Amino acid sequence: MRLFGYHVGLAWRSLRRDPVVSAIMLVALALGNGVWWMSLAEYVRFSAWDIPLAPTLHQAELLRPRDASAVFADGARDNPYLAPRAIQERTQVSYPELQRLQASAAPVRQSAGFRAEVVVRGPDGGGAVKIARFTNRAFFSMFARPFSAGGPWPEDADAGGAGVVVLGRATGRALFPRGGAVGQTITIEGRPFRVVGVLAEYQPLNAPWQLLIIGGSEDALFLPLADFDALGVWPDQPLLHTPPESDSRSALLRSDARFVVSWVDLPTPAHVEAYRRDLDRSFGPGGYVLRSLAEWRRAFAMPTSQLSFFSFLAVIVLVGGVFTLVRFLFTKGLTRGAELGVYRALGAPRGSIFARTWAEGMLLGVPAAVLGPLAAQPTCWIFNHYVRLVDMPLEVTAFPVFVGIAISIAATALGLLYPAWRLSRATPTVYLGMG
Amino acid sequence: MRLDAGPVLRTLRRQPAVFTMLVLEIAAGVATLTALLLSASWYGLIGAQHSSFDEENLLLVSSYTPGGDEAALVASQRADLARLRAIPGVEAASSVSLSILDARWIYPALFKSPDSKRRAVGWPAFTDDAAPRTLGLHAIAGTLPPDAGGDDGGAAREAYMTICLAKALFGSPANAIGRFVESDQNVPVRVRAVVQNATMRIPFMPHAGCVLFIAGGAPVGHEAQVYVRTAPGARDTVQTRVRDAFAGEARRRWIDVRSLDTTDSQHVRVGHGLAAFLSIIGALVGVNAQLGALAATSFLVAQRRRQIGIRRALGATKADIVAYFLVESGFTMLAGSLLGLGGTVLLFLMMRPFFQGLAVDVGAIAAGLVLFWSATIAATLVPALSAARVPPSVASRSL
Repeated sequence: MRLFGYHVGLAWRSLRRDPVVSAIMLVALALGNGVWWMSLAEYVRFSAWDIPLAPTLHQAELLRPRDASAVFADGARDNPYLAPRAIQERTQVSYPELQRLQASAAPVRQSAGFRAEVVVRGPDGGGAVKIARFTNRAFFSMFARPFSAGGPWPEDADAGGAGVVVLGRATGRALFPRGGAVGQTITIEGRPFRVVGVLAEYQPLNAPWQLLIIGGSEDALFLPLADFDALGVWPDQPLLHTPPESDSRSALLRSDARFVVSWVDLPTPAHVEAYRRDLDRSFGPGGYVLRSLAEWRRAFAMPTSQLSFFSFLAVIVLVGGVFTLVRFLFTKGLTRGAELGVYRALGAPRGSIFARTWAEGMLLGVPAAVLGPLAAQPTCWIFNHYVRLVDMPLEVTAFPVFVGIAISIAATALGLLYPAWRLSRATPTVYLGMG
Repeated sequence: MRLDAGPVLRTLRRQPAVFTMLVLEIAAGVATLTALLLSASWYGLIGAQHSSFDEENLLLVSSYTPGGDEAALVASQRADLARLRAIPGVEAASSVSLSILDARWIYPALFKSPDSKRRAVGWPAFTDDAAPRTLGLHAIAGTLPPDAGGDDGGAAREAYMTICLAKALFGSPANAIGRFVESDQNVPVRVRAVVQNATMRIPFMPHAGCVLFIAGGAPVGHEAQVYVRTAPGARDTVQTRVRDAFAGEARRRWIDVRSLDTTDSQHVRVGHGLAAFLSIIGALVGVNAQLGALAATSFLVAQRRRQIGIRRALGATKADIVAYFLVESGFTMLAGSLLGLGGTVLLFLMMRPFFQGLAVDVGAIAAGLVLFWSATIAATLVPALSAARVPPSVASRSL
């Protein structure tokens, strides 16, 4: 360890001997890392890995007998187009089922919610159809949604009729570009609502509070669940199982159409047991599966998709970049065989050659990894301006930057073991023979 | 200039590890680049898809009417339809629940029939009897419902489906006539006709052209979409008239009037955007690989300065030296490309489940290879030209 600085110094001098070639190598690696980082950032945005959720969150999957569309779920696992719906079928419940789930007093926190389209008019009077999430106050703390201004509505607003609304980040910026949204009034479905908070972050595409709203826009605003009936709006994209008895809204709400996601917080085994007893009473033993957050994540892992494929390609690019660096150092070591031979003949141990080669690679690999997110910025900009799949742009956030750089450095450090080991193996006489 | 492969092969044999790594690197680069170009080509095709309707003379009027009174909503939507049909220049108007311009993620239905063991994924579009005339549908088999021009709301009456759905469910259009079809989203309806394929969902969705048009039975809701066929060449004029007709209701409702112009739709923008974006990523991957190759080749050239000097002293011209490096590069490129094409086949098989209808695009693969070859030749030429400048006297310096 005390020779670390010495080896790094030697490696640095080696790189400076060919500054142009070293710079080209650095640029090549940084570009590769940029592609890798961009793909990782998109994957993180999709998967919500970076949202710290309490492990005590639980969700009950209600088991139903086979019905008209059961085949949809059966064959869906292998079909990337149907897999999202199969997962939604299992993670959502119908409106009548929600009433039965909410009858339990065992959870310390409960959050139920669904999406519905509403007409929103801002202070300028312009109207737009937006996606609202009808939920309760606990939602914001259970799913760790930070606020840039204000906060969630007061607890008594959960009862409905308080005329309060929380705006999503994009909607807050669109309606109040100069800020100051909290306390302002907007019109929703022709009724006035006071803004009590604005969220600070865009939501992930595969939000844990409602999985696989792939291709959809974010929750533009949040309203108390109890206001759903008063506004008379319709749930967005209910998963119909059997066609409702009539076309009316009330028939839809009475039907087995699934569109509600329900979560509970059960912090102790006693809470879990109490909740199980309530579920047994409501749905019968064996009529449900209660999963903790960890179990739920395993059961409803994100299905493979085009994004998975591009992530796989990005891993190839990352490995290819490491491979390029390995070959570069290997070639460089071979071309300087005579020099290394002299070095060994003068008493340098194998460990010294190993450390110097490894350090030389890391002197290129570490800056390239750090430059990766920077190199990705032009492509991020192109993605956000010319592709713009949804209203949630791809952003540079701490989590993907840290993870991307860490994985890249780790891969480089591992890859460099090979050329360092190979170059340190040969005997001094072999090297001297090359002179 | 002599293109002699012998010395090149001897060099390759002398440093097998370096050249094996180079070949693998090229293979990974070729496979990644061609996979990116194949996916870019797929997105390009998505961006090129249109509805297959006569878009020049069609308008789409979307509305959202707040309020919880279902009877009032139904009445309002029927009144809208009647008002639209009465506007001068409107030849026909139909309420249709789906549109290629609607970019929202909506799940398809799984259709089945008591008359067939097959099931098919597709899209139910609730509409009315005027739809064939409005959309310009024509019967491939069976007969389309007559457009009586009356009030055609109410319960689901009968249906007509596109060829795509008829083939998937019944094997052929003729077999579909008279059969009943149901799904999780519609009650059983009898098929009376099969029409040409028409894209009614954004083409990113599966089977966007497999549609069951159901006359009647549209679910009540706040939203409504009306397709309007205008007199030939009158689309822009009628668009203005429709906007004027509904201008007074802007405070109470949300109404959007636009031409059914898929060139200006989200799937076109996203499809073309992704095609361009993936091409840029492909180019970056290519540049990344070639810069790495350039750096490593520079060292190989430096290593051989004495060898080059001897060859120059023995009569080799500058062109011979450049050719030597190009032939060497050619060998590794050939081996790497062949291996890379194998990798492309594997990646293609991986891609197929996620990229519906993905085809082998020889042009994209050839473009990938040409790009990679051109870049490699450029990456070789720089150090090769430098090597060609080595004077014969270098041969004697280290003797």
